[in-house]
Amino acid sequence: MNNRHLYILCPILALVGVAVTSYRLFVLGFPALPDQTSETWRIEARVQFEALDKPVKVQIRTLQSEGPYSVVTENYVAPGFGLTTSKPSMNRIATFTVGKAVGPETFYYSAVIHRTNESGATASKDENPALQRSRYNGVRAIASQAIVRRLTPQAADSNSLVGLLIRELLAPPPGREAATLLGPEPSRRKIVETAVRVLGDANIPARAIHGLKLEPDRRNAQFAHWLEFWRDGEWVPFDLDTGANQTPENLPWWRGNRPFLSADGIANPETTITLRRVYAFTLRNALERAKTMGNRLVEFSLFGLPLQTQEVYRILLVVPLGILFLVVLRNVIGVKTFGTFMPVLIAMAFRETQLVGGVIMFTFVVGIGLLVRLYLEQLKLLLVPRLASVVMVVIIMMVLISILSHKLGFDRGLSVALFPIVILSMTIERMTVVWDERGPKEALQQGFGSLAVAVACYLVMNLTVVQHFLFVFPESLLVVLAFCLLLGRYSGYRLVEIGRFKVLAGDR
Amino acid sequence: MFALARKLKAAGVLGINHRNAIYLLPYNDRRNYPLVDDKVLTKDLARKAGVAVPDLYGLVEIQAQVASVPSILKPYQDFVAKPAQGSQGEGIIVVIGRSAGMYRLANGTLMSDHELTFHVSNILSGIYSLGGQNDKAIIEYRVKFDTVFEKIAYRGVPDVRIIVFLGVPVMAMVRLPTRMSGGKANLHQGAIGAGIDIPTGQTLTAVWKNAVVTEHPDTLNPVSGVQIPNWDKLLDIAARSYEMTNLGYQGIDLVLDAELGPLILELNARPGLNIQIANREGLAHRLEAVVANRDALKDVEARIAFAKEKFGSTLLAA
Repeated sequence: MNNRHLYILCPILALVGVAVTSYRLFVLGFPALPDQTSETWRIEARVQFEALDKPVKVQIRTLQSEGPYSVVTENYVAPGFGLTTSKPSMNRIATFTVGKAVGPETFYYSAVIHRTNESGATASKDENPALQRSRYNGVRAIASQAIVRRLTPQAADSNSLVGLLIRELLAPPPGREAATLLGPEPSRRKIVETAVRVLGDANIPARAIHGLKLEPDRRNAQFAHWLEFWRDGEWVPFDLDTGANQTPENLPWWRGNRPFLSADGIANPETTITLRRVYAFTLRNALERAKTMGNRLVEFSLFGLPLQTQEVYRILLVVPLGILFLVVLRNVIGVKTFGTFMPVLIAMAFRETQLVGGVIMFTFVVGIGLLVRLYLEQLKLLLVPRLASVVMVVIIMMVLISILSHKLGFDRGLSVALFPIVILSMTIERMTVVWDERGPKEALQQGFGSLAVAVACYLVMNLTVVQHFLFVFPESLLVVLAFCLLLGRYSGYRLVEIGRFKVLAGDR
Repeated sequence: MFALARKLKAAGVLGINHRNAIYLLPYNDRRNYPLVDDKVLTKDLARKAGVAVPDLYGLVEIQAQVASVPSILKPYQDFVAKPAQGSQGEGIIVVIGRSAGMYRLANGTLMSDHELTFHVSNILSGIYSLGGQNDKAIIEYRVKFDTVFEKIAYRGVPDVRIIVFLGVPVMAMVRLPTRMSGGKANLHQGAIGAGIDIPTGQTLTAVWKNAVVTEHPDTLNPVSGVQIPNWDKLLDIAARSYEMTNLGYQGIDLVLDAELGPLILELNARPGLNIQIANREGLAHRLEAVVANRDALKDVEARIAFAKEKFGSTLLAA
């Protein structure tokens, strides 16, 4: 007999467990800790307009996942309207249509956006930028070309050319050419669009991006506008204010020259954007994100199950850890308990009863049960009917506890029903036998030993961190299994044996 | 704590995990466990091997037979009733005589017919058996122990436990009932365990609970230096028990009957480790010595000679 099998099997199990766990932890971004607040924003756009008693068609640009941002959920509320979404080019468009409508209408588009810590550029990965000339004509074409001609020699590369151009356009009293292009009191959006057109004349493909600056809680958020240009095979964002190519705070919404909303058959459209940071459970984000990535590992996981079943597994999955703990307590420490897994089952009941209440109720039920059982001893009943009677007594006691505690207003007492009845009865029975055979001291010792182990298991199993981790990463059970297998061949001393054999350590 | 553990390791003290993982699981085929777990099978086995066992008076197998127990017992003044698959000496009733229509037990109490049959029916229900499954009740001859033990046993029957590994008797002790153990010979119930020097069959110092004692707490007679009678015969039975059960690691419990000589009381596939305390010596080194010389230890004579040569107590040498 050697342990070679074990020494191969256990590392493999552990390795698989660790590998899958780390893949889901680091690549898919599943949260290792519960309640880990993450960067999640809830964005809501409210569109109000007046319908003009004509067929109505309203198109809005919607958010899409890109770079570090992923759209977790999207929601449209537009009663009475037909809705279609499409992605004809770089933007996603939601189209609301209705045959005929009159008067004020409102609809909502809302989305939950999650940002991971990936340092990916915000630029989209679209290929093949079609270079568009500025299409200016007349004096504005001349102005545009003049700017390009003047700035190109000063610029080391396309990035600095963009920077120079933006500075030119933003200069407080704009230069003559710039003023020609921008017109009076240009909006930020106008500046961006102008820059994009001028860059066209400089043979740099560019486009406007419209989105939001992510700041906590904005009731009436304004669209931010910046641009991106094509360099070395990718789109590089350029922030107007900072001149940086990193725009981590900018959430891209849509691109190009079209506005957020375009419509037929309406008047006075008005859009209000609300931005709110939410401190949500990261888990949902990771899940949704992995789902949008089409990840099989998520589809074939606990999250694919109905919610109720998930709740069951949330409890069940910590049991192996409790059991491993029990194995350590029994085989490495040497604690004596009634029944091999009784403490773990009691610990599971403690989840509902809470610790103090659970310990009190457990002691109460077992105590009364012992008294009844000691009385039954007088009646000389056969084993199985006797056990059955104890079960019945235990159930009756539970009913009494529940009724009493309910009347007294302690609803905690109701959860006594979750104690494993049969296990309790067996405990009572075995305790009586030990009481008879080896005296009350040994019986109480083992009884309290079992209770202490149950409490310890409960404390381990009830750690939110542990529950969360095992539920989100059930594959880590393989590691627990590996440990358990290894403990199966643990041949060292139990802690209590060291005391027991102390005399042998001696002097010789 | 770790220093202590290292010392124990150096002294060759066998822990329960070590016993189970390194010796029990590899050397004891689970198939053979019933042979020793069921004392009825053990009896048959021993009889076939030509070793004496306590006479079987009656075997109660089903509840319907329980009512007939008093009539089975009618011819006998004294007897022992015990579960066929009991463990750690639980459920054993030793009746040493009758008075006023009651059974007088070894621990001095009296028991009525009714109580006795209830006990037997409990045995059948499996309350004392290893896995809780239904059991049989054995009613057998009560051993009249050898006079040598008269001074150092309080009621009950002293027995000799020998650990046999691969047919080699590696360690032995005699278990002496005390008032505390209620006439039972189990150490955890309060019996005294005295180690036995394998070559000579002389008792060494003894342990009672966890303390080292030199005299019996009830009779106050010295428990060490007592010569176990028929020691060579006991060693011979022990060495042969390996072929009987094919269990590599087992404990054999023998009693010395005043008239019948050595009898096998029972075999144990998971013998306890207290024997190390009784001998003030660890088992591990002796077991390792047997494994190392395994090939040379084919026949009974060689095994006994090996044990006698190697396993003299270091207590006597000192």
